[in-house]
Amino acid sequence: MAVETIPASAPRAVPPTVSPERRRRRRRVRSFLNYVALTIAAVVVLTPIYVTIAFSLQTGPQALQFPGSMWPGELDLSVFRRVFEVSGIGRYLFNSALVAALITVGQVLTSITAAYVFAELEFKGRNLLFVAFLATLMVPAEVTIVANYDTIVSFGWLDSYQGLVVPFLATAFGTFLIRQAFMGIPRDLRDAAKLDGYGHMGFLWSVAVPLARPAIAALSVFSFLLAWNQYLWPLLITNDDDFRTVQIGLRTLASSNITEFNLVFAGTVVASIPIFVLLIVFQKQLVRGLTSGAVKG
Amino acid sequence: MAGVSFNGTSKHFDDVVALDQLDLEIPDGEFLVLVGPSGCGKSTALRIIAGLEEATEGTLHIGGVDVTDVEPQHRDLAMVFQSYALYPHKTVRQNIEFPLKSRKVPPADRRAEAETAATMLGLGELMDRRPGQLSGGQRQRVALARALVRRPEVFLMDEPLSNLDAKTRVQTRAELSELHATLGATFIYVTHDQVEAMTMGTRIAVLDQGRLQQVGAPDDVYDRPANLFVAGFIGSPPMNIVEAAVERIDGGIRLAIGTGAFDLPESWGAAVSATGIERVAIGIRPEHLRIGDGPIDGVVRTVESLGHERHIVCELAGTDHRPGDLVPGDLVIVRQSADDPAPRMGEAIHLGAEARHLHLFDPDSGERIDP
Ligand SMILES: Nc1ncnc2c1ncn2[C@@H]1O[C@H](COP(=O)(O)OP(=O)(O)O)[C@@H](O)[C@H]1O
Ligand SMILES: [Mg+2]
Repeated sequence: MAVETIPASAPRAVPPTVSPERRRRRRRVRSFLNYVALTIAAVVVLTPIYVTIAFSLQTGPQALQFPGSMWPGELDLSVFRRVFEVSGIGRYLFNSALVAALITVGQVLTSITAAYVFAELEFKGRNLLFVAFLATLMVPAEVTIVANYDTIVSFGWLDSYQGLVVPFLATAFGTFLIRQAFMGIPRDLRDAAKLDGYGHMGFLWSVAVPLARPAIAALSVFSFLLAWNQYLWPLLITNDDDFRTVQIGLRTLASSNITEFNLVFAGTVVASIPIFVLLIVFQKQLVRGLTSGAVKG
Repeated sequence: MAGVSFNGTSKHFDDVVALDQLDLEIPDGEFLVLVGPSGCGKSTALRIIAGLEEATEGTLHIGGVDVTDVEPQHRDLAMVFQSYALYPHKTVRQNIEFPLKSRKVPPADRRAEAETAATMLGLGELMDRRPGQLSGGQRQRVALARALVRRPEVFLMDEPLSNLDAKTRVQTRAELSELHATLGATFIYVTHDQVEAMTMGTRIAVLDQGRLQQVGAPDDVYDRPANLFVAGFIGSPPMNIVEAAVERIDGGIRLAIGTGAFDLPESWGAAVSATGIERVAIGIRPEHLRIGDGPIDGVVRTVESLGHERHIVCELAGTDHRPGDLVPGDLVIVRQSADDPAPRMGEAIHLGAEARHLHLFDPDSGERIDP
């Protein structure tokens, strides 16, 4: 599957009046500016991460000082053990992992099936329905949160995994992304599969899904990230420690451990490790899935 | 037994009539070639047989059974697509086994069948590659293997050779004919290339603008084209067509072309008179025109040598219909053996042809006129 990309050095139309010498200089200036911008961006992104790690390795009082030191104290990793002992972060991590995994699987499944319907089946009002589907799901979560809360209460789902998972099982973004990938599959493949004896389900799972793998991988990572980082909804519908997710747990940790403030930073580090791992492992797919979208034979 | 028959079958895409009232009977075991220019409805006809397209009107029978409303997977046929439509994420083996898998053939049998099909097409070494790692010719073979692994009664092929280089194409053409002889199944083959049609078909069906123009054995279609479209489409270089005024003479008719004329006996005269037309279109194949003595006058414009033969383009004297043009008169092509003496450019010549090699058509309706 060759993905067509434009080489970074694609020649640009330059007015013929510019001499090669000036063109070269201009290019050098531009690339210098690029590096400056990227360096600034990297510093902005990396500083909080560095500070979090540094503070987690300081002692409690050090971490509380203002303005604090930017240097880690001694390299004592026992703080990461301690944070598990003094707080329920183990349980929170488990909850987050479970909820994020369920949401991811759910979103991928609903997106694949909905995308297939919108990409492959022909029925009256398909496009209208697709627009309506996107529109309802594109409403920001904050707008629907009260209504969702009422629904969850009426189901008696406060403090439950269902309550944390079910409202997020469909996604407009995912459906759109995967529909694009499905629409890039040549019609001949669909027709060949029909003649080879496959109906919609057979084609979907043996041909369309494998071909849309980059988009599905990208969606999986995104869904997981978003679910992992949820804050408002879990805060709203969970009171019981048994169902709190790690982001809420960190908040609790911060308000109850003033004396050992480094623990809060250690908890933050622990909570972000899964995300880092995920990003590093899936980096390539993430970029490919979002930039190409379509699949090429 | 699986013959295929179209019965008044039409296909409309909104305003476009892709297929217009097609009546065509394809007996079991035939190698039928559907030929015509791009956009004439060949693929549509094939897709209707496959069940990938629903006929707007009329019916389709396979093996004597009306299958108009039968799903593709329940028609006993396989198709080779122009794009080959191989599954890019599957290996050659998985591609070939795929149609057996859906039919619940046990894995061991599947493997054996796939091996047999692959061996037949010389794919033995390539079973574990993916389509992306194969040449065009190899992909085409995989597509064929995937089609024949199921041993269907009917094979459909949509321009399967058009993406191959000239040499591979000639070779594959022979192999397909061989395959047809071996399998004894019905082959329905679509192409826009009249050479492929002539060389491969037991019969050919010529389509234009969704309408069937003529169907018959290749030689019959070549020797007796049913109308001007078929006359111009089948044969390369194409048949020369020139218009002539009809004059009655003693014992026949005279067809005047520029300063010269063909005189034809009364059998022709009667046939032309019966149509009531005053002008006819005369068709003469390039190989049937002779340079030397003959009733038509012309001037040699270009001489194209192809090594084994020569194409000589002549302008007919007294036919300057387009005054002011670089070449104001009608042009005809003469096909000569390389052994014949070559005329010079600008040389004035006489052209002749035997009466049995003349084809007459009604210039308005395009229909053939027979003596
Ligand atoms: N899915 C379609 N929608 C609309 N028009 C179509 C479709 N398929 C084919 N056509 C039209 O029908 C005519 C015949 O097409 P086709 O059968 O593909 O021709 P061919 O295979 O002989 O080149 C063309 O004018 C084409 O534009
Ligand atoms: Mg076609």
